[in-house]
Amino acid sequence: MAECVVSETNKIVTDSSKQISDVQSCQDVKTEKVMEPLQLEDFQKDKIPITLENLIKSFEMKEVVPSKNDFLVGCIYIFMLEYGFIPIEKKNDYNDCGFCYKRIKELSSFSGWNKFKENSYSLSFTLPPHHLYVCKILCVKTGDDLIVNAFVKNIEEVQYTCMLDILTYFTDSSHADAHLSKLQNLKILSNLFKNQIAFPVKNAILHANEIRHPCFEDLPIEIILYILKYFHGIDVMRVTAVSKKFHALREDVKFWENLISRDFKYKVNQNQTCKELMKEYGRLYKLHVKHVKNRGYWRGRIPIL
Amino acid sequence: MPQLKLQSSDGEIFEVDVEIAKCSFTIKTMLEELGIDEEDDEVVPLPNVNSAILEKVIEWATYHKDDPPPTEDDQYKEKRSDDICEWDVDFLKVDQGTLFEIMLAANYLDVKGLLDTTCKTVANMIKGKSADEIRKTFNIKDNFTVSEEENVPKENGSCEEK
Repeated sequence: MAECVVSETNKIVTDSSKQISDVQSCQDVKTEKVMEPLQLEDFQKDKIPITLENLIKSFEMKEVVPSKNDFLVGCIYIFMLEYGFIPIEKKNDYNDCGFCYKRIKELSSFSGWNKFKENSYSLSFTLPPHHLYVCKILCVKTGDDLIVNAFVKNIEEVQYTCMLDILTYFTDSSHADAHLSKLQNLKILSNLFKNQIAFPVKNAILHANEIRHPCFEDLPIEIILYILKYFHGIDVMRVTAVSKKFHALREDVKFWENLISRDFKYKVNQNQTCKELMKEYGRLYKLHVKHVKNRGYWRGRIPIL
Repeated sequence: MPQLKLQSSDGEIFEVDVEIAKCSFTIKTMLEELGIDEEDDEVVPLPNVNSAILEKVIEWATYHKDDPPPTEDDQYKEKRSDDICEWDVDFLKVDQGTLFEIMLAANYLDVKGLLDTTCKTVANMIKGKSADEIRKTFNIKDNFTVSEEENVPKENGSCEEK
């Protein structure tokens, strides 16, 4: 096995030495190892993402000993980069908002956040190429929490807030300065921030530009139908009441016929409309609930809601 | 073990065991149809998948490489969503945007097991929630007009009341 790897390395180097430019790129591939794009949330003591190293270097360059909140705001900056945002100062340098690991690496060494007062920070981003919509993130420390507020210029209703409990993300509870070795729960931080701030903000900006983005509503119909197979009728009714697009999914006679026969082993009369079938499902469901309450068991696996 | 190079939409190159790459039906077909040989040292471009997501897919496929091949589904049979393996539950503790991107990638690459487990995860996020709670969970705008809005709960209510 080891031999095989070595010989393959040699082969690549000899092949690519024909062209000087190739040598560089192939060696990059080899030396930088497979599966390189570590996101910040992949942080573990034994694999530290390069973006986090860059963040620490940027503290060193400013000769700042970062406090815990400094550190968290730095992480927020990198999460935004991971979601395709770029700091406003660099808005003319990039024109794509997809995930690009090279860009994230480049920008993580640029310090795109400002501390404008003790314990309060301001970050401004754009989502290229939609530079009209500037996303402003204000972070204020109050007590042990960091309150994060996000606004988007030109889209009024967009305003998202989340609270980060600072001590959750460090192993020591003292108020001393933060250090890499004391960092923890970055995955939780990443999910919380991305779900509550970065994801909705990106969606809002893309929707304002009539661009679809992978959010639940924009999944292709075949995937949504695939998900519906895991539901029984009551959940189907609820999820199809969420929006117009989903509501259209319930208008399929065959679908309800199958659902009734699957959940209640019951064959319905032909030529019924969807509404009638839904009512029929409701009736059978009520019978089922009554039956379970009286007898205490049911052969199927439909839970009582 | 023979290796294959996969290139993500943002240009990163991933080296993967051919056997692992073949859990993607799309890649498997591509290799067979194009007759790409493992010796050829060719790079397979995947323009619909970015490096962060491709890394996730490879991580999943590597862990599940010894799983039995997926069976054909009986579309009328009720499916369970509470049987996600523990490793997958942990693997899918990601933000929603990433979860949906993994789903789309699994769909595009045709990795059935991964599509199953992501769909189950989303199904579990929905089960037992009211329409309003679902909207809140997924940040969905309510786009019914007032009169339609009156209709939908009525439609539901007549079936849901116990």
